Amino acid sequence: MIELDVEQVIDCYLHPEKITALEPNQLSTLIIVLRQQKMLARVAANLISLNLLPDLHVKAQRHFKNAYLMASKQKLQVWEEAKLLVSQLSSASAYLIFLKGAAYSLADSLASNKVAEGRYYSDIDILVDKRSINECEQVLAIKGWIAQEINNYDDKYYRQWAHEIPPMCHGTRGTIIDIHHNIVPLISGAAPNIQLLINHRVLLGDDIWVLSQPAQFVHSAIHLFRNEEFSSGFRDLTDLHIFMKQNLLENTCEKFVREVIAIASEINFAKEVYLALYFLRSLDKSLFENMDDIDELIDTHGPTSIEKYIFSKVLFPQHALLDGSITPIQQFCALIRGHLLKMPIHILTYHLTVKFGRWIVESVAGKHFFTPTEENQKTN
Amino acid sequence: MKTKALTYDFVLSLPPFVFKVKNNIKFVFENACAMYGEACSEQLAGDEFIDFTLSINDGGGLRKIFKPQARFLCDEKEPFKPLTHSQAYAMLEWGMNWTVAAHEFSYVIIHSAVLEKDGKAILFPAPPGSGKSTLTAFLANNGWRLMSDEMALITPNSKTVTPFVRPICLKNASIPLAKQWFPDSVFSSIAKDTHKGDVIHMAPNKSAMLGKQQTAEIVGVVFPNYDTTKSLEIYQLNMAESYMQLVDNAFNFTAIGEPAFSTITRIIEQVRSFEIFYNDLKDVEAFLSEDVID
Amino acid sequence: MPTQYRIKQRVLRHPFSDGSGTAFYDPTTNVISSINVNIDDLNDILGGHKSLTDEESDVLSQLLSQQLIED
Repeated sequence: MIELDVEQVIDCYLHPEKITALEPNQLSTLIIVLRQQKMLARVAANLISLNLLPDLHVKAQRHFKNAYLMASKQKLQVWEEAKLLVSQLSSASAYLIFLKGAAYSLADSLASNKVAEGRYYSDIDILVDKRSINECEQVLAIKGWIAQEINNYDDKYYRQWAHEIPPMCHGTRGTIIDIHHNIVPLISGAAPNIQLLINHRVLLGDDIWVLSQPAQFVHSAIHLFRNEEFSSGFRDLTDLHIFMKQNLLENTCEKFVREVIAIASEINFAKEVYLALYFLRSLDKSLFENMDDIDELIDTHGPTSIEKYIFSKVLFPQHALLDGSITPIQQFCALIRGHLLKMPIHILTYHLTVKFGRWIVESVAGKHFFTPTEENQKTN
Repeated sequence: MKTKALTYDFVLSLPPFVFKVKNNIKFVFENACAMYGEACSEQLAGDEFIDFTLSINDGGGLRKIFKPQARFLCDEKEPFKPLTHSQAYAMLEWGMNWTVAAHEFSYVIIHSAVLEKDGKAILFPAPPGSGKSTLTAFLANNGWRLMSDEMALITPNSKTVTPFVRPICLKNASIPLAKQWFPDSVFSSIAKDTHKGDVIHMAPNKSAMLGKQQTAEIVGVVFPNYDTTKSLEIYQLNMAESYMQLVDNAFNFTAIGEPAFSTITRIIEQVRSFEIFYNDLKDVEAFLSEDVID
Repeated sequence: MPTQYRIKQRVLRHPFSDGSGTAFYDPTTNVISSINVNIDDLNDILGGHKSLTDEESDVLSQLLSQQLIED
């Protein structure tokens, strides 16, 4: 028996009123899928703003409220956390820009930013000057941030090839920060002159800077379409969708898209932005009504057939409870594609030998072959 | 054609939650049946709403043959490192606790046993090693109704506690004692050498299961400390002392925020709190019946 | 003139009615705290009008380090 399919989950995101028509077993599947997709609070926010929550099964209401509460609580804390980071790093780096989830939340504190509604994030991403990254790391270590334990191979990957350093976790508050000096790995050969992106920063107040909305969109698109892992793919696509939707409501969609394309071209990531626009159009045609020129641009610069094959699946919810939604071949292609974009082939081969060596052992011997069990840890 | 591996899936209907458990370890299913009786079924009864999908498995692959493990997943999240195979059932019980504590914010949740008599509930918040579970097992079989061994679900801004009836988790030396004291009770298989030592679960009795949807009002908070040298010593705590101890045991305080603060301060204001040091369970029972709940 | 402090506006406080102390919670930093000083004595400590005992200084430095008060 098919309880719920991918199309219905997407529909429930786009048209929240359809959720009220689901049977209890479909509703419980929807909630489990949305929770795994990190979308439960976002859909909850939609339901709350349309006052649809009271129409649902009382247990479903509780799950939506729980998720919404969790996300709102995070929003409440992010400004203080950001202020603290700014004061700690102000002397270390020439600039500090908040990116992604934290940036959406911070921007929302000033003017309603719908992307922040029900958007939770597991870490705070910041962009600092590459030349001062070691100093930033040292300052934070003194202020109680602890570098997360990683193995030597991963540490080498970060130091030599990446665009960030290993994440740091605050000893008492548990907040995790990801410190970047660029938006894509240096080894990819695609890392832009970061100054070009920094030019698009805006000040929110209290010395807290984020990228402008079109630049946030560009960064988001680059992040999504150069990734190799898509467990948050649908959530990330909906981030972009909400940016567009907000502009649609304000009748600024075309202007917004043109700015997005201009910024992306400037830093040589037009490809990723056209991919984003293409898959946004297949998600929600209404975004692009009366934008014939842009439609044409998307058709010209859109995905190759292999990209269509991969992204038409991995960008949308995949869950064991959704019949036929899990597409291992596309996931594998996405993994290879993502890695190829990150590093040249000879380094990739080395990287994958290490990573896949582990992966093969794990797939034969069990997922936790390398993880000590509690029992082993005690004796160690 | 893929051959389907042997599975022992089941549904646990444990108000206020329903868990669907995907499982491929036979004794996990057997233990769940023993612990929960009718509340454990192979099929969903009608259109019950499933709150969480959990899974317990043996790690798969070669591992299954030469060194089987037990893994717990909630949806697709794996909050704990794998345990050894014999600990699989205990892991499911702990995993259910984790799942509720990590997702449920409509109740203020305190790490605490809850026992009820005459509609009045006493919370017993305590860290492991305080003898809380042995005390719980004793009271649950001597005129008190077990509402929970591990977590008090409190409706925000009230003193109302909702039962979440689960087995009592007994450790080490208390295992033979409990088997001797309560020969009619049902016990799970032993989980050997866990981080808590040897662990066994004792099924909730009939009165607990019958009252599994019956809420009660909190009338007292008792912090237990098992102490071989003292039959019973009682200290009434002032509000500030009680607050910090209660907060230390509040699972989801920071996730809930303001309502948790007001709920806990309100309880502290309205009920008395005690710290007790004891080795005589009968004396404790008499103190609770005569001095705390009336 | 010693510094005067006040409890930050966003910090929730609860003076216990038995006079045993005061509970605090800061929803933006998630600091949960309590002191064994009732609210009247606390106001005296924060007011900066008297010389503090060692215990009172400890209370002041606890609240400062937890960023629950500001000057």
